[in-house]
Amino acid sequence: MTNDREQKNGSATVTLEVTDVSRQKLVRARKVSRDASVSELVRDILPQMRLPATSGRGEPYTYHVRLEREGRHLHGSERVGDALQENDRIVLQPNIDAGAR
Amino acid sequence: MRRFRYLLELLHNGDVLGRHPVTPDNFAPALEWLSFQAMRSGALPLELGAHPEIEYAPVWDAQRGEPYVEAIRLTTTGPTEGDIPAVYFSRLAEEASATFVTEGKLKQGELFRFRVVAFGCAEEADHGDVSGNGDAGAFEEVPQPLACEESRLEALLDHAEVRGTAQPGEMPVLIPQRVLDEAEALKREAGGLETGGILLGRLHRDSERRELCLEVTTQIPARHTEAREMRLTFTADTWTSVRAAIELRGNDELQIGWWHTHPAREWCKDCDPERWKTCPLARSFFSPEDKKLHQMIFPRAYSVALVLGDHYRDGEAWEAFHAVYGWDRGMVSQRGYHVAAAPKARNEAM
Repeated sequence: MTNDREQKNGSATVTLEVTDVSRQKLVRARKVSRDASVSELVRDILPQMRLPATSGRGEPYTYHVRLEREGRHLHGSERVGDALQENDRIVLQPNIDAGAR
Repeated sequence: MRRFRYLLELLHNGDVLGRHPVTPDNFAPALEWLSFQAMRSGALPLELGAHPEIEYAPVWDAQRGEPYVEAIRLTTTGPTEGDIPAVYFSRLAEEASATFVTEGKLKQGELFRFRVVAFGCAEEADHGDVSGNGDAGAFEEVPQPLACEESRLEALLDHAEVRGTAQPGEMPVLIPQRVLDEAEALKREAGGLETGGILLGRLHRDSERRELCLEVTTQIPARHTEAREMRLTFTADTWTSVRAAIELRGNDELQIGWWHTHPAREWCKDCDPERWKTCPLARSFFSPEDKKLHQMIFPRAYSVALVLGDHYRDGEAWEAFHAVYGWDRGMVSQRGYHVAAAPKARNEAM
């Protein structure tokens, strides 16, 4: 059974390449649902990148997703099927603190 | 070979609070470090994310014996091996303590101890698979070649000054004096606010000596950060601007680390000078937040962090200092480094 989106795009999923900011870790994510939001994609990919969702104090980290092809940050509410194409490369960019306190 | 399951046992006032499992993911920094040791010696190809076969074996506590573990011995191709001490699991123990606080067995902030225990188990419970993939096949790390320039270590480190306290067996790290000077100038400019940047560089391989060397080639001041007195936030735009700078330079440099400042002289200027002598800010330190950043952004075993701080030397005067931190057995600790003089000075010395 296929839905409209699946018929339009030929597949209900896409394959993406995800890197960290250093570009020294590259994970291929297969079968990413086109219906997923970018926020959901980030939530699922973090453990695969060995990146934490929260700090030791339980505060959530903010991750931005940069789409290399367009040179822009994706919004968390954007749908994968609308924003991303097969084999797109995205970069996970956290806001993170250094400091004495 | 006998297989083991590892657990942390938390204790308070001599009573066992409970146990917390050590998962394969908890070993990731140690495995990363061991793999890199094998690359240094040439036992493994220079490739990131390849996940070589690694054996685990407990080193039993010399006094208490099994099941109490003093270290976990990791062995891979070569053979290359390293003992991961119990202290490696300190952060995990800290996280695990939250469960016991919730259960009312431990109060928030109360001191506790932990030890590592190991029990024999079925083969499928071994820690050999650290892919961490919940959905097998949906996610896979793609191995990437690690670029390395063939160089002679003697030539590279010629006229370089050794600084810091080198740990046995650590890979040489070379930092140009120019990079230290630039970062120091930015520290002075920022006054009491923390500032920082990213270190770019490359790896060198001396095939004859079977050793690698990390060379810092430049520093990129971090833009789009949020700087406060004791906190520096690297934002998404910081990482984008660093990437743009790397591409603009066109040298295929790696992001091999970062630097930031601890301007204690400014932080402490309004305090009683008597307190400077014992103030923990007025000495070399790498805070838990600094460690977390290093773990998240620079998990590769060759990555380094440079800290520019101030210490109250001999209780008499403030003095600027530099300290370099890096990976050792999956933990972040202070390490030694070499400082290359400015090119002009090097020519004069020849």
